Parts: sequence; C-alpha cells; structure tokens
Amino acid sequence: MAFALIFQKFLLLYFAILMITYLLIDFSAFFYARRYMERRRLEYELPRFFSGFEPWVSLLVAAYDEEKTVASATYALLQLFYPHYEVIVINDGSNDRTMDVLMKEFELVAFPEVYGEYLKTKQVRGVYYSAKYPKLRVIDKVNGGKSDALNAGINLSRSPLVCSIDSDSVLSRDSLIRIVQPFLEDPKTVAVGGQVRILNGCEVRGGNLVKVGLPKNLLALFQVVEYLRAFLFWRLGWVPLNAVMIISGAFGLFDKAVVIKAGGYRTGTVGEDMELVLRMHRHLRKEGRAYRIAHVPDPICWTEVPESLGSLQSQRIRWQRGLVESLTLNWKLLFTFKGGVLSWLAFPFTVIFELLSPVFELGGFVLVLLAFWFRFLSIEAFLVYFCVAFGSGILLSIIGLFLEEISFHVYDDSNSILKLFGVAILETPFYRLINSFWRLIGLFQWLLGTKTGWKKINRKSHAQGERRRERLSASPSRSG
Amino acid sequence: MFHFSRAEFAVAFWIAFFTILIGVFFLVLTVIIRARLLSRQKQRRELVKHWEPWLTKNLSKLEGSVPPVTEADERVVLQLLNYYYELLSGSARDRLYQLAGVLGAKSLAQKLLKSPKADDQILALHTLRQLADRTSWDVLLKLTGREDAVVSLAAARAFAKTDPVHAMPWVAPLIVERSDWACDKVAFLLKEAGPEAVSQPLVDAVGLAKKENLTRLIPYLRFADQSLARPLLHRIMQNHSDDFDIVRACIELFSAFRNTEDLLSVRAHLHHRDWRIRACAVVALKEIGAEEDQKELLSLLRDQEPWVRYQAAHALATLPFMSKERLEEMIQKQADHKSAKAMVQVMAERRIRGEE
Repeated sequence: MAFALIFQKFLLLYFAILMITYLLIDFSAFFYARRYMERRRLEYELPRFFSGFEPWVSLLVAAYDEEKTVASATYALLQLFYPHYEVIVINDGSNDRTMDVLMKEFELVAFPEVYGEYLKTKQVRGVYYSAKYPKLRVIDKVNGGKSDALNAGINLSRSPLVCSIDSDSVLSRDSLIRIVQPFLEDPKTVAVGGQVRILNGCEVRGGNLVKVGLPKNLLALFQVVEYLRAFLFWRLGWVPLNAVMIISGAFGLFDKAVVIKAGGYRTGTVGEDMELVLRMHRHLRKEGRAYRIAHVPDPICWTEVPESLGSLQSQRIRWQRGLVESLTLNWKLLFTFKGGVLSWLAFPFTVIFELLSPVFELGGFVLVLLAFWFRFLSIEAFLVYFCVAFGSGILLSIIGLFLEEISFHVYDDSNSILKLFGVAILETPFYRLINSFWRLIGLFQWLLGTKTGWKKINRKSHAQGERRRERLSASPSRSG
Repeated sequence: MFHFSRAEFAVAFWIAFFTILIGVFFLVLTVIIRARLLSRQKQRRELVKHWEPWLTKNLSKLEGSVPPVTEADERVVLQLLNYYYELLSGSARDRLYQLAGVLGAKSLAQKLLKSPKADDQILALHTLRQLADRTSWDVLLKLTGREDAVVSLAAARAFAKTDPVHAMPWVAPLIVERSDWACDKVAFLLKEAGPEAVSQPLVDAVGLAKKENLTRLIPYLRFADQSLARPLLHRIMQNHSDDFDIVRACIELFSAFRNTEDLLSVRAHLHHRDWRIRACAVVALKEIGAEEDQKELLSLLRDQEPWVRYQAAHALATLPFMSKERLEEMIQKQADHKSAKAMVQVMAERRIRGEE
C-alpha cells in the first residue's frame, strides 16, 4: 500500500515535470517560429529571384515497391522552383514494376556512370539518365533497405548538399529555397529539417497543395493533434538551443561532406534519420567544430499518415524501435563534458519522457487502476492521478493547437479549430494510451532483439499524379 | 485500506477545475484570435481588390484623382508597390516610381520604419530601397548597425541603393563583420550597387578581414573589378596556402573571372594533396586552359579520386581544339581502365545532351 502511494506520487511528479518542460519548449518554439516568419513574410509575398549563391542540391528518393506512386512523385520533384538541383531516385531492389515504370515514364537510358563508393552499399546494378529530363538520374540496386539506398544516392550525388525525401512527400514548389535558407544565413549550418504536416484531407492538384483540409478519418485527426503537440513545436523548440536531435526522413537537407565523414546512414536500424543526426552531433563535437542543426518552421512538406489501426501500429512500433536504437547507439552523447544543452538536457529528457514514457504512462495507468481496484489506493488518490495524467495531456494538446493558431494557422477553415479542440480532448484518454501500448511493444521487441524492418503502409495512390504528369509532359522544356 | 483526508479530494477537484478552466480559456482565446484573423484577411482582400486594379490601370497614365491612403491601406499599398517594382523594368518601372510619389510612398515608408514590428520595418526598408531615397540616409545608416540580421541587412541594401558610391565604404566593412547576413541577400546588394561602387571598398575590407571570415567573403569578390580583386586573391592564396577552404574559394573565383593570367596559379594546384582543390583547379582549367594543359589533364585522368577524374575528362572534352574523334582516340590509348571510364562517361553525357 505504501508502495502504491509512493508510486502514485512519483507519477504525479513525472507528469508535472513533463508538462513544465513541454510548455517551456513549446513557447521557445513559438517565439523562434514567430520571429522567423515575421522577418520573411514580405520575401514570401514578392516575386522570387535567385542570386547565383544558392548551392546545388541533390534530392534523394529511395523507392521500394512504389510502382503506383513513383512516377507522380518524381514528376512533382522535377517541378520545384530552385535554380540548381538534381533528382536521384534509388530503386532499392523493388519486386514490383517500379523500375519499369521509371524506365518508361522518363525514357531512361543506361549510363556508364563512374560511381564513387564513398559509403559502402549493396551492389549497384546500373545508373540511368533520363533523356527527357536532364535533372533526373536513377540508380538500380540490390535491396539493402532505406539507409543503404540513401547512401547509394549520396555516392552518386554531385552536389554539396543532399536532401532525403520520402517518395510520398508532397513538397511546396518553393520548399527547396526555404529549406536552404539556414545554409545561406549561417555558414556553420550542417543540417536543416523541414516541417512535416499531414496531407490527409488536403487537396493536391498538379503536384501542388492547393487546399489544406482536415482528414475525415478519426485516427488521422488524432495524428494531426499529435503532430502539433509532439513533433512540430517540440522539434522547433530545441533549435535556438542547438539541441535538435532528429530531422525527419520525409524532408531533410544535409551537408554531404559531413554526412560522409560521419559514416552516412546506418543500415540495420529503422530510425536512420534520428541516428544520423545524433551521430553527426558526436562527430562534429569530436572534431571540435562549431556547427548548427536547424529546422525551418514553414509548412513545406506534407505526408500521408496511416488511417488504419494496423498500419499505424506498425509505424509506431517501428518509430519506438528507431528511437531506442538511435539513443543506445549514440549513448556517448549523454552527460559529456562540454556537451551543452544537447547532452545535459535534450538527450536525458528524450530518454525519460520519450523512450520510457510508455512504461510510465501506460504502466502507471494500469498499476494505479489495479491498486485502486484492489483498494490499495483510495478513490481520492486515484482521482488526483487521473486528473493530473489526463489533464496535463489534454492541456498540452490544447496549448499546441493554440500555438498553431497564433503562428501558422494552417487550418483556416472556421470549423476546423473547434473540431481539433474536440479531438484534443479525446486524444489523451483514447489515442495516447493505445499509442503507448504500441510503443511499449516496440520497446520490448528491441529488448528481445526481434527482427523488424520497413513495412508497407497503405497509402492512397496519388490520383492527382496523373495530372502532374500531363502538365509536365506538355512542356518538357520547363523541366530541363 | 489507506485512508486519505478530504484534502486529497479537494486537490483532485481543484486540479480538474483548473484544467477545465485553462482549457476553456485557451479555446475561447483561440476562437477570438481566429475571428480577428479572418476579419484581417477579409479586410486585406478587399484592400487588394481596391488598390490592385487602380495601380494596374494607372501604370500607363495617371487618370482621375488619387484615392486617399488611409492607415488601413498603408501596408497593402506598399506591398503592392514592392511587388510591382520586382516585376517591372525600364519605362514601366519609371512610371511606377511616379505613382509611388503620388501616393506618398516615401512618407508612408518612413512612418512605418518607426513601427516596433520587424515585418513593418522590413516592408519600409524594401520600399525605401526601391525609391533610393537619399533623405533617409541617416536613418538607414543607423539601422545597418542593428543586431537583428534581417533588419540590418535590409537597411544595408536600402542604404547602398540610395548612393552606392558613398554608401559602400560604410557597408563593405559590415559585410565583413556580419557573418549572420544571408549570403544571397549580400550578393543582391553588391550586384545592385555595381562594380564601380563596390570594387575598392570591398577589396579593402576583405583585405583586412580575419582568416576565419575569408571563405565566406571571397565569393563576394566576383562583384568587384577583376583588376582589383585578382591581386588580392593571389595575396590571400599566398598568405593562407595551408587553409584548403580558402585556397579552394580563390580558385573557384579564378574560374569565374576567366583570366588567363591566373593560369600559373591554377596549374600550381593541379596536384595538390587535397582532392577538392585538385578538382577546383581542373574546373578552372576548363575555363582558362590552353593546349599545353592537355598533358596534365591526361595525367589527372589517373587520379585516385573519381570526381577529379570526371572533371579532368570533362575539361579535356571541352577544350576548344578537341574533337569527338580525338577523344575516342584518347579512350583507346588509356591503359588505366578508370581513366577510360571517366572519358566514356563524359562522352555519353555529351551525346545525351546533344552536345556532340
């Protein structure tokens, strides 16, 4: 009984610290984003010209069994508004017709490319050029996983900056020029993440996002609220402290030389995006080099989220495994002398409040419930726990929505904000607990050493991609 | 069972109460902010609907009276003027200047410059830059010293535009000092000011810069007169030959200048121990190389670094006297398969691009 009481008090303390830290980081993110956007508002409204100082960028797209979407995704990337870039699609040993689709759509020809193996990868079967779209090259290789595919892309790239993109990401046309900005403003910049928003419910035409909307699916709605609370502001908040721990694989721009020196993407892990960023931190700190890893607050990358329980479960188990793998592989960042905010605050916080949170949240809920059921805990104590645990979660979600409203207000439909508030209230007692359960599975799978990998998430095929292709094919000179 | 006092129950009650209260507070606040935002957006749309046709219609010739510019109109009018400034050129832009005068854009901008909000200041500075307003000289000079990187750079651009020749001696040292100024915007500033105004102050300022700033600053010298910039580049290369980033930046600029007098410096780095410098030197040879460089380029086809081999093959293929037949003959003669591969790749690229 005493144990139940002590445990209950411990959980109260846990939620209180979680709430305070989240609030501090959220407000840090808000002020950073507000300041950033305020100073660029006019620039975004005026016609854009290029100075010639914009660096070359290689867009890397790893494709595995993407026959339905690879063509439309590639067409969309060929239409970005940026002066110097190339697109490298890496067919990672697909079992379907991905390579055939690429060959036919883009009139690929086999090319005697001199392939420099700066990073070890599985065998590259061939490199192809597009006769019709000079910006495009395709690598055909033996399957090795996403990390391996991206490393092959890095080997082939000719640009000082490389940008990893998910094949189902929808980028705004000015996304490249926006994500490159930190590199132009601060020569110490080595990596920049783009803000990822949820595509479900939005209207896409001609490869461009034309209308932002909320998804109809409840699971996707929960994820909208979750993204705002846990991903958007949480990641941005660490930027002013130079303690960014993850850049999403959906859209991230990197200094190629630094990535190669750090060893490239690690294969055999499902959290390759976070693991790379943490390793870059370690490598650069070891070199004693001043550096900066940033995020741009602009909503410039949109991606579909799972709408079925099965797909979402698979994703969240994988994410948790990726998290624990990334942290354990880079545990040397923890509490290092001169480690700064990253080492003494961001990393331990991530361990306690991200990695172990399913243990505390779900485990705590179950234990307190059992303690109450078997009368080791009074109703009053149980109610206190319930109010703090659920109340803090709901409040954090609501504050996330509030910050979104006063900074980006992406969902400008009048009813959407009320809808999101309703979802924010339901999110904590329903969605978060299920999510914690899946994350707990991920944690146990890692402890038991269960094999896992990338599984196909059911996505809607981009019907709008057909129109993108028509538009681009109509004026091939624009793509060159 | 462990009994708790009513205090525990009270705690639970008050936590729940305040959670609900704070939640409702944020909900209400969000709804109010949303309502205000929608109202502002609607107002802006109406203002644009009013002013845009008027501006378009009066660009060719001022017809009728000028509508009054109220406080609500100020920002929209200036944004539209800036938008059209960027799009138009020549006589159309001159007419836009006249329209801006009629609308009192200068005083609107000067008024907005006093706003505490950064976006208002940036809008005002953009406008003053377009107007090249000499009367704002002192204010603009003061703002160039602001800590805020975006505002100070916008002020510097406006300042340099008003009177480039007299402004650049002030601005050039700032360019050296301010590593937080976006390099693309600095490039625009230098381009707008023109080589006549930029050359001497920039070369003097970069000449006095600390080593750690040189890699950032050297690319800006492309906006200066070659006759002043090139001697500085050679001096920098000599003084900092151990800093590979600086050497590379200098060689890249020799490429841009395309002056054959730099050939000796470029050739001296063809076998540098850093492969990036070798590659840069080869790229520079593409621009200023002579027939006698063919032998060196052929030797670089056997470089251990793929990128250097590729650039050497490219440089060979683009030499003016080089023909397709000569290139194919070279491929045949290459004993080293890596060299041959580099040549084959370049030939294939030229074929695909229709450059043969």
